[in-house]
Parts: sequence; structure tokens; C-alpha cells
Amino acid sequence: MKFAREYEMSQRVIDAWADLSGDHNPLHVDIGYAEGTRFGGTIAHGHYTLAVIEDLLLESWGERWLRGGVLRDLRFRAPVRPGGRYRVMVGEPDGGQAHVEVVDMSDGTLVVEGLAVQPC
Amino acid sequence: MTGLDADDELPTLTFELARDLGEFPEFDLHFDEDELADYHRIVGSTPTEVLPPGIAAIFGRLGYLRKHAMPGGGVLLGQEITWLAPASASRPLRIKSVVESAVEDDRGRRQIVFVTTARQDDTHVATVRIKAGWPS
Repeated sequence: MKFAREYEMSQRVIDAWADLSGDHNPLHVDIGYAEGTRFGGTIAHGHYTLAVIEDLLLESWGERWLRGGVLRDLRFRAPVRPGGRYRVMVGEPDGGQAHVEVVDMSDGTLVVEGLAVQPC
Repeated sequence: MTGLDADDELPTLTFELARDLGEFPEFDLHFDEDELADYHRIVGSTPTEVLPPGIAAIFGRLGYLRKHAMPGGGVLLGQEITWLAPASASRPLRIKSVVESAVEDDRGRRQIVFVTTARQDDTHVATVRIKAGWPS
């Protein structure tokens, strides 16, 4: 993997993202509600993870990313949970495309994957 | 961030409502310096002169939910973000969302594809396409 960033998720970060984005879905911010769902607790917003990926792509490829870069084929395979530590990775481009993934560092579970298409 | 109402004040965006509306009113979205500082602190990114591309994750959703609440039980099935030009961090974006498709299969499963565009001045800077499974 060519570029990577690690981050720790917390309920404080989830709540702050909810305030910033305007998404106060109780699955993210209401612990009592979320404990009664199939997730068994709160989970981070999917679009928070997308923001981390997008900003890593800017750091990795510079402003060129903003002139035709495409993040696509995103799959949300497992939830990002408070208390977890995650690594975001952008792979070596092959044919103008790089694999992007987010893994749970505690057990290597793949939580998000997708493709980043470099600008021409 | 400009123009957000509390969720509990907003009507629910049902499948039928989204399909019938077909598009959502344009609006200007602007993050002031404090909000951008919050963004970078929360995401762990480094401030630059350009608007951080992760902001697309916010306006891609906000385009159709600014004046509506998301119903419970929706599932994000896919998302694609295309950046076409850098945007200045100090100027607002013009956000516009449309419903590209709203379909129900023969098993009653409903899917909506939203396409949200962001412009700054006369420049198209980004497009976000979201496919969501919508509750009945």
C-alpha cells in the first residue's frame, strides 16, 4: 500500500460529525436506541469514512485529485464502531486505478473498500 | 453551516415523495473558518487553500435531505464521488440534487439514485451519486 492513515473512532467524534454534517440519525448518536438495533450499539456515519478517504486521496495525489479524480464502487462491508482503531489505505495505481480500503486494526476486518480512479 | 434545520422539524422523505419531487431546491452551502477548522480536527486532515474533498460526503447527502428527514431503515448501497475542479474554501458552493431513478422491483424492494452537483461561481466542481435502498 502506498499511502495510509490511521484513526481512532470515538462517540465524541461521531457526535461532532453529526453536528457538522447535520445527520443526527439515532443509530449514530443515541446509544440507547442503537443498542436495540442489529448493530448492538452506535456506529460511525458512512460519510465520515468517505471524508477520511477523500482527504487521504488529496494528500496522496495532490490537487490533481480534484481535477477528475473519481472515488467509486464503494462497499460498506462492516460498521465502524466507537472504540475501534482503523487504517485507511490507498494502493499503488494499476491502469489508472488504485484500490482503497479501510480495515479494523484489531482483527483485520475489511470495513470499506472501493476504487480511486486517477485523473488523466 | 448555513441553512440546517433540526431533523425533528422536517418532513420525512418517503419513497413516494422523492419520486414525485424528482428534484430538490438549489441552495448555497458555506463553511466558515471555525467550521472548516472543526472539519479538519474531526477528520484529521490538514487545512489547505482548497475546500477539502471530503466535504462532498456531506453535500452529497445534504442535497436531498436539507429540508427532509431520512426515514429509518434506509441502506446505503453505493456511492461515487467525482471531483472536476478544486473549490475555494472561502466561497460558497451551489448544491443541487435530483432523483435519477426511483424503482421498486417485483419483490417490493425500493431503490433511489440521487445525483448531487456542486458548483462554485460558474464552475462545476463535483458530482456525487448515491444509491440507497429505501424503506417501504
